[in-house]
Amino acid sequence: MLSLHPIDIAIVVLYLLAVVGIGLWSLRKINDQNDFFLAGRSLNKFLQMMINFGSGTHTDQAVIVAGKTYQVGLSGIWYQWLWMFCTPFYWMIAPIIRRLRCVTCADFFQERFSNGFSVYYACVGIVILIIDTGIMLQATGITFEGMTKGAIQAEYTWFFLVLMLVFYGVLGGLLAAALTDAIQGILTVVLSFLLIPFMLYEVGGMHSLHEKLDPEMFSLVAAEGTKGLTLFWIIIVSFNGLVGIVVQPHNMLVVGSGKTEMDSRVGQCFGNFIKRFCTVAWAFIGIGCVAMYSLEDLGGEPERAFGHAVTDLLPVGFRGLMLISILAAVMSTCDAFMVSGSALFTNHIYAKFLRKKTE
Amino acid sequence: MMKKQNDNSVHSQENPVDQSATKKPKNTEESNVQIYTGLILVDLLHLDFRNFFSRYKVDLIGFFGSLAFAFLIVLATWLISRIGS
Repeated sequence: MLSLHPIDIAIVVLYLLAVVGIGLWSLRKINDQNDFFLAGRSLNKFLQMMINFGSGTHTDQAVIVAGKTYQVGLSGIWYQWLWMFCTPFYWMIAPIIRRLRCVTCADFFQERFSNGFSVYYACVGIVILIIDTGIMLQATGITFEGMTKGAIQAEYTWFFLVLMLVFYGVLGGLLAAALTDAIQGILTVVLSFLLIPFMLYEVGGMHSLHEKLDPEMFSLVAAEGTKGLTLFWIIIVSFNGLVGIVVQPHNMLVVGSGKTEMDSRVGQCFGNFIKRFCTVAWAFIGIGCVAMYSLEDLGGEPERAFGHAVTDLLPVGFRGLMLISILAAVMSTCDAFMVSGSALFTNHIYAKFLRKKTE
Repeated sequence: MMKKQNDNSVHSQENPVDQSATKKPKNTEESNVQIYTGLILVDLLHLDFRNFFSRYKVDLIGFFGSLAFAFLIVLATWLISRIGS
């Protein structure tokens, strides 16, 4: 069983108290819808970077990239890097999003097309956000259960996470999400890089890693006919990513909350670059796991590589840090999703259908 | 609320949203005229090539700088993978 040292437990408790405190403090700043959904369009470059990074990064991505690189080698990094060459375009897209002065994409569709289209988008957006949030919570619950060898059951983790999210999210809206993301973003970087030194120590360094593994495992682009990701695949998926990013339900709300256009540009562009940077660490964890575990050790599922490495490599004292980093990565995404879903529901379903009836 | 806010549309050159969206050119004959700092993606179908760099400077520098940064991350990853080989 995962033994949690009192220091680990104290770290977790302190973190949770800080998150709740931020939610309560943010409550004082909320006067209207604009404050709740867009943080009064007051986020500076740092907070913009953190909320863009936080809302786009979650634990299961680290688990998936580590699993894919375990399977196909370093080219598995492109499962998350598919937006790498779209990222520079964010610099040019962000001011357009901010100038639109919309809270969500549904507002834009209402102005550009019709009321019915905005309601349709709102319904689809809410379903997407619910499914995404559910998948993230499920993945986190299972990761926790795995890390604690069943001591903390997945159901308890889900319940606790939802309780925390609803509490500080409902109190403080996007401002609370942005402020907590500033802490959670840093913790997500910790989550990404914490394992690397322990893993390198375990496998005997990079030189030893090269000796143990096939050179093909270190290729960023797989050759044609191999099991890795080829250049053609990377180009097609990058283009697809560019088309899809603009209409993601949470995107307009997160980017539109910048204080100035420059804040939105820097936030969306470089917030996402932090994620690309963290992806490098996730990929190398997967490569290291190839040297440490056989597929049988992982029960035939490469996605378990990350969890196994966390359990086996981290000493007591670091586990509490890893636990809150995992919590932070999920909560920082879910809070932005929750506020986005709330904006879609309030402005395009409640205001148009339900409020009329109650009046 | 939205209708009220929308008087700053993406095409509104007369009412740029930010102060940073306008600038006065230095050492030019037009120094008393504000040049609108445009957005390439908005003006894509009717690009004005007069003062192209000045007009789209923020877009151009930011985009190519970010693109260079993206290649730098890929290059750094490749170099890290070569360590010890």
